[in-house]
Amino acid sequence: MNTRRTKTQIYVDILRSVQRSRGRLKKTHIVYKANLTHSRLEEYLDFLLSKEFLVEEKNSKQIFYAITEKGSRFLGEINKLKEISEAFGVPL
Amino acid sequence: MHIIIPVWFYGFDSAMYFVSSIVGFLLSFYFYKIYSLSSDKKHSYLYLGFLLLSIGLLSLAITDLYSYIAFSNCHASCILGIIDDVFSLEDFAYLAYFGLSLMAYILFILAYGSESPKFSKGMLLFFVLYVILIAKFVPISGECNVWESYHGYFHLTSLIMLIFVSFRNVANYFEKKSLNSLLVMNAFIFISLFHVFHLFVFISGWMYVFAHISMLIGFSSLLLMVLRLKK
Repeated sequence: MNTRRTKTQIYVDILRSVQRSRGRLKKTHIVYKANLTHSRLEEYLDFLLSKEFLVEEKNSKQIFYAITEKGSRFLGEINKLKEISEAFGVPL
Repeated sequence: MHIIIPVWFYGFDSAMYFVSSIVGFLLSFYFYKIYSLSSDKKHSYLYLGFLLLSIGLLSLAITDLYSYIAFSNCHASCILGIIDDVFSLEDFAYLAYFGLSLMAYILFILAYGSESPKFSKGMLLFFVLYVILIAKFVPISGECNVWESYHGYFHLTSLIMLIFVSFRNVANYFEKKSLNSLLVMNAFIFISLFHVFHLFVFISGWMYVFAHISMLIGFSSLLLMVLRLKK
């Protein structure tokens, strides 16, 4: 059985890990909570920041990533989109 | 080949095309959202496929309604010029619908066959050659309108394409066994039946009615699937 996560599943995992940690998280924590390498996380973070699902928050020397309202809405809607694509046999 | 359309059904087919096109636009919108997340070609094919199909159906809905209104206004004193205008408009709309639908079905095949590039390229080549052969060698009957002449070939081609898509959805249903996949499978089977009934419209006007009822059931299944997810 293929257990490789799809791109979208990884976006969801990142957003969920941030959401569950009071809405903001440091990059290192996202790496282990979403089970990714640093290099792969960069590529996914770029997408989530460009889509405004996450925003960077600078606090003295540390950088946090916080989930936006758009990101929370996306998490709510993703299940619906996943069900549609699965019903057509072309999983998201 | 002449197409028999019951007079009492005038306008209903237009309404059915309109409802079906709205459902198609809705699915196109959802697949656009899915594609913007996944960047997967399969999702873009479904997005574009439903978009083209919906534009084709909408063009038919508008043109059929226009022609019925034009005919019901002129009654027995129809001026030949008006009839010619209406028919050339119908010719244009039907040919646009034929072209857009065939493109949509090719995109559906690509969406389901893109896992195996050899298969999808082979299928695509087969259909392109098939369509070219029909366009090149099938004579246009002088007794019929352009769209009536190509009617049978269009529905046969569409049926062949949709059989493949339906089989993929039957397989998906037996794998998932979910109500949503059942509704999608049902939709493609009924849309295929729309083309089957259309192949026999020269026999009786009821074939035209059954074809449109099948199409409506098919698109209603898709609408039901989307509405279930809204809850």
